[in-house]
Amino acid sequence: MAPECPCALHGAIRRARSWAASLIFVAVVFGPLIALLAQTGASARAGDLGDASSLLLADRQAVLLGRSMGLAAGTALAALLVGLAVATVLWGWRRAPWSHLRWLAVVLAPVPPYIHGMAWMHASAVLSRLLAARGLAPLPFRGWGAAWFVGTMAQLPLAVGLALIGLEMVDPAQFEAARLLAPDVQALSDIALPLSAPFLAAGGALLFILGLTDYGLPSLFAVNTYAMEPFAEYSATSEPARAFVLSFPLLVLACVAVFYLQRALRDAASTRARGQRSAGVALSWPAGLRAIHLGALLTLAVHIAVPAVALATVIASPSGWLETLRLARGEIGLTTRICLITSVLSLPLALIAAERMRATGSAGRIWRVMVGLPLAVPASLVGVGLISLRQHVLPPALTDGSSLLVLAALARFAPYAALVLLAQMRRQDPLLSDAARVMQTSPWQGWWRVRLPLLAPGLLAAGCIVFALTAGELGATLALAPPGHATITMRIYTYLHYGATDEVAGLCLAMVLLAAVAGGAAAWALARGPRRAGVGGGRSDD
Amino acid sequence: MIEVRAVVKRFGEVPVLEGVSLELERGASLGILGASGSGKTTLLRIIAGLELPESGEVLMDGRVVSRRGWGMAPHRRGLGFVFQSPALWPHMTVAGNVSFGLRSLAAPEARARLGRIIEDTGLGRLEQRYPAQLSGGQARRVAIARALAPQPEWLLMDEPLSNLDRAARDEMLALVEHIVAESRAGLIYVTHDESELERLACRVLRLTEGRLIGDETR
Ligand SMILES: Nc1ncnc2c1ncn2[C@@H]1O[C@H](COP(=O)(O)OP(=O)(O)O)[C@@H](O)[C@H]1O
Ligand SMILES: [Mg+2]
Repeated sequence: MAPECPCALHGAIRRARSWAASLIFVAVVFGPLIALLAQTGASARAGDLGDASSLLLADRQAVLLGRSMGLAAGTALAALLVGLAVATVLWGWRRAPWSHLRWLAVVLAPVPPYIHGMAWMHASAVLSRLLAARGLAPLPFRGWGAAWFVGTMAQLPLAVGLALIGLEMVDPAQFEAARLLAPDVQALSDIALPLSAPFLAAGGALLFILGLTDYGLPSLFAVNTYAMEPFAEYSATSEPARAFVLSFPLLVLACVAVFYLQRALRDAASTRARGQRSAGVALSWPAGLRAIHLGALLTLAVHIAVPAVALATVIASPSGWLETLRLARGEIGLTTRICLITSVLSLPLALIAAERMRATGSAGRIWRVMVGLPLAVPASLVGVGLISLRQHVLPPALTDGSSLLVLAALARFAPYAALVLLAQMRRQDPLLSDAARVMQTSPWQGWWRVRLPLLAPGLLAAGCIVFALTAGELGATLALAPPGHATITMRIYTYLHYGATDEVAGLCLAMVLLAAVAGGAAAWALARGPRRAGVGGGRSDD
Repeated sequence: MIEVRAVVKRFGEVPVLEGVSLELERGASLGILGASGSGKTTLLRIIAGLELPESGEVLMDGRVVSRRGWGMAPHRRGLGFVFQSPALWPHMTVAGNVSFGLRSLAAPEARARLGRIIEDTGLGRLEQRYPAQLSGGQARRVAIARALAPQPEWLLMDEPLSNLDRAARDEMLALVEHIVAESRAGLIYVTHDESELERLACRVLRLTEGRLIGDETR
């Protein structure tokens, strides 16, 4: 405990500082939504929304929403099942000396879904040409089935990561106690899975909501999903309020998903750090499960190999690829700048949120909801909200195209950074920073010399992930579409309309590489971090 | 019979066990003393099959169950293991935890066995509680009941009394003594506290610098 400070002023200043920090987070992350809400309220009072409710309840929309939910549930379920199978294999390797390499399975997670979509379209086109050369019918790779399949592939790395985190949250001693009494499968099915089930369910809810709010990938396969509606309405009418009303069902579903997410985050935040344990004995699975594992690992390999190979083969030559990149150097430069600024700015926001999320009681709950909710807000709403902010609130200095893109990316991705930091904090022995709190000569010293260095790997990882996510941001970027400020994603989208496949593939490949490098760096930082920082000073038995 | 033959174990560069050998007749009771970090837990985990030796062998009833690169699955060794922490499964009641190892039995027999062990360990009124609703001493009794329920031939205990207060320790010691005698299981009891072994073990070995020394018979 810090000694009681005699002067009340000190406490008041500290509280004011804490409130100011919270307000900054809320303003940046929720500003666009709040602006939309305000504008919708104003429009409703002015009677501009007269037909909005009929618009919302139209049959066509109900059917569309139902189908979109079906698609999102289908992809989330498939991705989670395959992801769980992969994760059990990886989990079994947790004690190998190279165990941190397992996280490589997750590096493609920040690749935006529409890039998977384009890669698979290329792949199916190549396959169709081969089939046609043999006089066979081309592949009908369109529609809901294709959208489901590619959506599953796109969600696979995230699903693997979530399932692996869920399994790693299981106390090794509890699992070993079961191994002594029953075969490994039973220890898995009766102990490890039930213990990680709440986290897995929350992961499924997250995948569902990410799928439901993404329109980029389905639209590539000529599938119209509900997530497109608010954006289409806004494009047609330029009225932010109508877009907001149309996203209402999505927001309600998002809130339900966030409820589960919040509880899982609480569990994740309160799980204690565990020391690195002994090498242990390899798990042995029955033949049936081994076959499932093999299938899942092959699927994982396919989800990486097909995009990589498909994109690489479309590119005529390495020099052609370099030429594509050279021609796009303006976009690449702008994108890099936006990504760098966003990832640096997201870190203080993430720190604010991550520390508060760990609190017990209602304060912690509110913060976990506040971090979970933005993950579920449709990207186009953030864009539209920023437009109404620009009209009414933002200082002129922040209204140019690239500032808006930074603001949009911050609102969308700062919460991801907070989650990464939370994960990093969870893996540290709380006694390490408690000791600093007791022994520090000033709060600043404790923070700078102990807590920040302990968090450094988490900060690095969070920054990398925000960088990669920002590079691939599409939903808000399209809504904002600042004139004269083309990013790589916008370039890809425009090229796509002209059907210039060589350029598209070249830029997509660059994106995949970038996401892989950023994701790999993040995985490396997170995997190495706690060991260097010494979890609890070695091994502990409980 | 358990035989440990010249078992060597290292973690990276750090040698932990450097040729540990041990022979125990069925039903015998052995205490192993050693300072913290001397490798006691590692030795028990190797016997249980949770860890494999770098070289050397572990035999049970004349059969090799562990050697370099191969080990019989832990649950097929007929051992009970009480860890240093209770490691109860939080999603199961006390009854669920204890009967986990009884699934191969027919239901009526499993129920009878559960009833008996619950009574022997004094857990009568706690059966339907979850681990979060137990005190430290109660949780340890559940851990012991869980280990003994399948009637193992050997019970391995790894400092089962750490973090308990004086009164709870005495109570637990008495319980362990009674219940081990009752079950006729052999006992390997690991501790850094010599006083715990006075009544439990007829043979005491010391683990220092990776070797077992000083066979005392009482
Ligand atoms: N997984 C591991 N990695 C590295 N060192 C380990 C590991 N497990 C145990 N050790 C080391 O082996 C030694 C013996 O550990 P342990 O068997 O737990 O001792 P005890 O139970 O007697 O306290 C200690 O020095 C410990 O640090
Ligand atoms: Mg020990």
